[in-house]
Amino acid sequence: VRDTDLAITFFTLLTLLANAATLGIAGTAGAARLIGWPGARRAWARLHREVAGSAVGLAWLVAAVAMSGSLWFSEVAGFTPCRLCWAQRAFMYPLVAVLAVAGLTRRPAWRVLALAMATVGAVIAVYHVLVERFPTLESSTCDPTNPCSLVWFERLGFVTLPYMALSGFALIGALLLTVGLRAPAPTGVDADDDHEVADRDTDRPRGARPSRPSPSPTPSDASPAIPVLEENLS
Amino acid sequence: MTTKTRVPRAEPLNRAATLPMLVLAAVVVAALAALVVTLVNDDESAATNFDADLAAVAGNPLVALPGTGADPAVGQKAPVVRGHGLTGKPVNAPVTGKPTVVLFLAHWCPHCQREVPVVQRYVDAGRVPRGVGLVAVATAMDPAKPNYPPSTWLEREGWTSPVLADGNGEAATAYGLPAFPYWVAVDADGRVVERRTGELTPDQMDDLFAAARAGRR
Repeated sequence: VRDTDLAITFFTLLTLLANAATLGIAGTAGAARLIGWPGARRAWARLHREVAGSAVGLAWLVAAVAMSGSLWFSEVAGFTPCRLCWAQRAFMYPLVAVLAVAGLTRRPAWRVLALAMATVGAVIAVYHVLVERFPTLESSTCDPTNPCSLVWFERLGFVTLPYMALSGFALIGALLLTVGLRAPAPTGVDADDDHEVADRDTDRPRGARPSRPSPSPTPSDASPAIPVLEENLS
Repeated sequence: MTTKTRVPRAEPLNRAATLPMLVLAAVVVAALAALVVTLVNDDESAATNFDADLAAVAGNPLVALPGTGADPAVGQKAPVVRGHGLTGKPVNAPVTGKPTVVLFLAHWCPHCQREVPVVQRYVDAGRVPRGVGLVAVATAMDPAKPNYPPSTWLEREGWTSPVLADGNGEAATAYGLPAFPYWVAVDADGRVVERRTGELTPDQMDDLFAAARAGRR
């Protein structure tokens, strides 16, 4: 029981960190793109520069930690997953593989797929959170074995298992959006070293197999360093 | 002799390495904080004896309540459950020789958690008809599930009606329980009048208690 408590507290804190990161990314993006504050635009450009390189890797880490937590809670703590839990698992677990491929191949299609999966997962998680909050949404009775309205634990009045899943999906989505989804696909031709510096600041993950990048999807763009951002801001 | 030590300019931190280090640091801090919080709030409450109590069931079991259509159990003798209540006094369901509404509750079921205060307000308002008993059966008990033990929960809700501990779920099975909360109206002869599932409104409770009192028509 104490181990379970410890794990719940640990994952609650990770959830809050994930929420802070998601809100930070979403807030900066919103202020930069929708409101267009110069400060926010600079912050977004910086965020893009600093995070985009490792964003897919971080998203993979989020999915892997979420999967580990999910397995720990079901297999060690003994919290039986309900129907909606399984639906969320069906999107979170494959995300570990999809994001690994997205990070290694750098093909935007994998990021698009990952974002789509994270979105569907998040929608299911939102519904599950609502069912926990308003049990009558699903039915007026409890299934005698394992109703989805059963709240296994709740911390701080709002952190429950589906809320944790929602936080994971949301952070994965936010991280993917910092990379952008329209980055050029690698050409497969090995690059000359001249491109190294440019490569560092473009929106593709570092550590990926070196290949010749095409500098920008919009050749007319003034700054090839942050193509997606500039495209969306202008 | 004074030599000016040449301080090497710090290598600029590799940008690629900074972010993973930050993430790692955050995770380590979260783990430590979780450990501290858990050690500070370390109070494990033991379950009372009540919750381990087993009930004895006599009589033929009822078929499970079907989802739709007529209930084949109506008119049958309800199994008689004998056990102990919250205070250790013997409790029977149904009450011998008295129309009784038997309410099956699971401590972890949110619908039961919502319904218990509604039922208690109904009782407090004096809406339970004279001569009709109300007995709750605490069943599907699982220490791993939330809101355990049920005795603590029902005490917290100010529950005043008799409660029977169904430690091994035998009573619930004998009554053909399909879902929680589960209501069974039994007449004075001990025959099933009506079985229902779900959260009932006070008006629906009126109907159920009236049915128990009127008996099978």
